[in-house]
Amino acid sequence: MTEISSKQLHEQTAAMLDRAKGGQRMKVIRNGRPAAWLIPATEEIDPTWEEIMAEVRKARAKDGPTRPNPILAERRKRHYATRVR
Amino acid sequence: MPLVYADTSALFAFFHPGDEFSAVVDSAAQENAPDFVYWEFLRYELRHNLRLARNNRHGEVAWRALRAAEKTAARLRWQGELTVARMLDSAEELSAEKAADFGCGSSDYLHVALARRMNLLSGLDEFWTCDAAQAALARSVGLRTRLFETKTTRLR
Repeated sequence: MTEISSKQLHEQTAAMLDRAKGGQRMKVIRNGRPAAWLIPATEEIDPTWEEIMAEVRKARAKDGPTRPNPILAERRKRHYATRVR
Repeated sequence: MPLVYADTSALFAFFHPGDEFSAVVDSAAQENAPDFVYWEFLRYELRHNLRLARNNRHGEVAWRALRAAEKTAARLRWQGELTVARMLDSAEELSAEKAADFGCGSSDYLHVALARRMNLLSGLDEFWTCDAAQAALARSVGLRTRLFETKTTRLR
């Protein structure tokens, strides 16, 4: 893993992007601490839950709960939950 | 990221914005930012129920979120080596051990058996469910368990 400074990134942006395009992964250091990754665009980055769930959270905030949980409903139909001792 | 085994009842509620447990499950998810264990039976049961729910806007939103999560390697952590065929023996053992005391259904035992296996192999931070009977079973095998409830479900 190559470390580069934020100053290097600022001053040599095109060269750093070429290196990333060529497959190199770089850690950008600012004020002595890791601040960001620079990685090839061909690499997949897993989205966060915030990104994945944005529409779900928006819909919930707008409409609220509207239906019973179908998995529990199915289990109840089979009376699974009645024998807990 | 903590690793959580969320039973299908909890994962359905997480993805479906209209589910009765949606708010409480998502609140826990926002608090803990977990990655979830994902394997073939859980995937089948979750997808099946979300497909059945794709008859309105909420259902479509849920389906799209699930598919986006499935494309990741981390948010839903696929356990390719843990197949139903392999896990049935573990569920059978668990049933032989606990069925006299815990009246959960066969698929509930399969979920808890896999969570117990994961816990022994690599450590599991929590087991999440909306099902009180399954939560009791999970606790009995030593899993740190979170049972989600709502005002309505507490009265049932």
